[in-house]
Amino acid sequence: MARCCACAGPDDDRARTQLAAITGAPARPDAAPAALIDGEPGHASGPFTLDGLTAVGEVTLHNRSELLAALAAAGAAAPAGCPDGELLLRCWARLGAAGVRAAEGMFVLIVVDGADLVLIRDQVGARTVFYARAGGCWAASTSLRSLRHWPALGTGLNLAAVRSFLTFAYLPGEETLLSGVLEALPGRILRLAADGTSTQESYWEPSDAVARADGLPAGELGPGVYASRLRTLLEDATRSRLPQGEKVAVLLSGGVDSSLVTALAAELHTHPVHTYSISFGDELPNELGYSGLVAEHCGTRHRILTVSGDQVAARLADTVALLDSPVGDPLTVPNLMLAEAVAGDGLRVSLNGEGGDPVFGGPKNLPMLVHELHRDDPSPGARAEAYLRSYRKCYQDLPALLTPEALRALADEPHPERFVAPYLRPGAMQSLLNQLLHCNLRTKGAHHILTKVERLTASQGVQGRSPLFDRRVIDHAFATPPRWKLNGTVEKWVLKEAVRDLLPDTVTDRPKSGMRVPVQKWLRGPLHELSGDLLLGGRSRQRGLLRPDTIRTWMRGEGALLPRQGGKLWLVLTLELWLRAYDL
Amino acid sequence: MSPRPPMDRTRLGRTLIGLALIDRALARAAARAGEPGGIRFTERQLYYELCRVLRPLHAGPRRIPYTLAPPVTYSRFREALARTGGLPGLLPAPAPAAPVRTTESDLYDYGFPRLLVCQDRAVARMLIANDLHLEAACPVFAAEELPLDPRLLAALDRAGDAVIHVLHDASPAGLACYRRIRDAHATPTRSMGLVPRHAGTLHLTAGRAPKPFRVPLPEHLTAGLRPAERAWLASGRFTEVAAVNPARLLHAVIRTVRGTTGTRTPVRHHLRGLREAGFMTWPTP
Repeated sequence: MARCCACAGPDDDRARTQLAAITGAPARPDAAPAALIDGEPGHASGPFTLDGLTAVGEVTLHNRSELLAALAAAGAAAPAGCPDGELLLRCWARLGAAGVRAAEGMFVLIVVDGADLVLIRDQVGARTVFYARAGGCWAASTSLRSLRHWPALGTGLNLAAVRSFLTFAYLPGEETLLSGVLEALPGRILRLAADGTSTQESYWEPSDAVARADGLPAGELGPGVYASRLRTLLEDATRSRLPQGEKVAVLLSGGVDSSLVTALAAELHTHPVHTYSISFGDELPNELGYSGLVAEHCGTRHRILTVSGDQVAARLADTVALLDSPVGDPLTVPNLMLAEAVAGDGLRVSLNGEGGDPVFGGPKNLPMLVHELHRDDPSPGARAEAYLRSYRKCYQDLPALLTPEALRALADEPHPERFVAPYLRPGAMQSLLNQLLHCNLRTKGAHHILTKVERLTASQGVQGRSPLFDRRVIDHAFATPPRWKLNGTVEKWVLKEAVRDLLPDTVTDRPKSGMRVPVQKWLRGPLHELSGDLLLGGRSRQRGLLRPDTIRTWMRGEGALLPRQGGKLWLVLTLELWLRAYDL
Repeated sequence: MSPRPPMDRTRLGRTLIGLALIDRALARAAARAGEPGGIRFTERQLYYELCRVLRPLHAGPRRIPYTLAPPVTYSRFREALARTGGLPGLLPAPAPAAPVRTTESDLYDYGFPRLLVCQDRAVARMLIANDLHLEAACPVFAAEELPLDPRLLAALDRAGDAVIHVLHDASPAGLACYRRIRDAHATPTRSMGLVPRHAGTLHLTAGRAPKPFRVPLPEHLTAGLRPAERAWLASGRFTEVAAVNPARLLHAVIRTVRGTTGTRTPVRHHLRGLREAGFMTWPTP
């Protein structure tokens, strides 16, 4: 249960001094330039050394045998029992980017290479790492909090990131809320050089130009071929994520994505499968009928966790503090409680159905397709701006939500459009639907869904694994013609066809409803006083970011055409809690 | 040309007071039209909001249907508008329809489950300016932009149960607009209104065409209307969609287009005739 960090600089002593300042450990002349940070929940291991390289990381590999074979074939055999972190280091040191590309799993690896730091993040972003430069050194850490307290850095609030958070409900790129601290991007190998420069190599990026490179026959293919191949990949992705010789948990919402993962786990695992669902009370609409049906169908040991508004109110602050970057998602506390339940039942791995929407074309793509019919401005920026509006968070409220001082300070800051615009034009993806999916994968997938799962499960010593975010499944999804993903108005069509025999039709063919979270009810009830105190209190006012009159208007349930005031308040409440947790 | 006689002081004073009143009322109308959350509105929507500010009888009980005569002429409103030099939220006059500029090859490969046609081009632009198309995943076109692109029609067809909604005025021209669109498309077509009963229940401002300009009301357009509604229309009265408060209009349109598909259940079948006259799509808070 630790995170990790490393420092590199022009001389070893200076790097060791800075590392000691970050970790709080005494600086020793013989200390490694990389270290674990105890007391922060994570899966860090190391340091590992190899040929003058020192590495720490949070590495879980799903294809060890393939990697060991690749190393052996290259004449650089690794010890069969070496830790995953060391194995990944060997892959990179011996095979370069190709070795990293071959690795399937959840990982970040920080490598001290002389006076340089090298950061390696997994293909989709299941784990993450942050970095900054101060005192003539680079530092990288899987804990943002450790960099917050790096004396040499003297970081503060990054106002541009506040705007991004209010726009997206998470931070969609390398930006963090700490000035001078950046997040490494997924699928990249980032080298931070001693002279202060950095270079980045993309070792994996999905593309729809690689359509036939994925075990598919040549020629015009019918949808059944894509569905069949996808089924094989889904089975492989699930199988490789099942814990050896242990029970496994599956978080089962009752939607098609988590249901298919449940069905695959039940079919493939040789040990019991436990499923977990959430209820917010019998009086609220829920999906328990569907999740119960799937649990019964798959023969799992099913458990329903009831989450009350009082529990959410009591635990929200601690939950937000677990996140390196805030996530304005009202399911954070319920997700944490699920992870606690899983850990309490003695399970160490939980699977989930995250990824189905960004990879296979879930809801929210149709509005952007419709927008394209009405786009009178052909510039890519116009599409990107519409994409931000379609998020339905606080983007359009910013003029009324931020104080005039904050708006003035933001005038020259880069616009949040920059995070989505590169994906929303022909490049790696030719079709508009694939551009939208690619954007969703690289923003929400990597910076919201996966990092949230990782931090909340890691806090309980559980590994949250997402088979639908498997790299090979993603490659296949983008190789599949877009019309087989959004078939007419049926979302994720090929995914549903791939598992049709595994699930009842009532589950496979049900329309997407999403988890209904009673945010408004919580904000009017157990969270009312807390949100008022936090958002209208002296500390928030002193910070001078948000206009109290707008907050009050939303708290009265006014100020918006559609009843989304609860979601907006949740966003700013999360931000306020996070800023307090990070002493900003 | 003889010089204009000087205005007496009392008349001048009254005129100035009148101007000040209408200017203040216009500012208030613009604020109301933009609530909540900065809604963007058309010039005619602003005019009707001004009518409500000047004569706030629209707030009367719903169970007593009535419409209201405009308390101010459109020309006086435009003079007042010109004095403001521009108001926040007011949309410019709609530009002529432009062809779709997308270069995306796959745009029409999927299914569109709904589409909205507005009789009034300015209303169509207003709905788009307020992101109704994003909110409801619904393409919005003006009637004058028809016929629809065949690829779009194919995408509607591909959805299986798509619906074309028509938003039209409570007027002979509005009813004819709906009928024309319905007859031109194989896709199920629904009238969203307005019809006279909506205008009465919402206490909207109604105009009245002078006798020489009244259009005869063909029988086939008024199926589903009550006798009183037919008589109302026959007397030359009409109400524009723009007369509905912008927020109420957006609410009603979003709710209607998101809530209906073309799937015909027995109950739906029975309601068909009523729905074609705009039944159930309007006045609710």
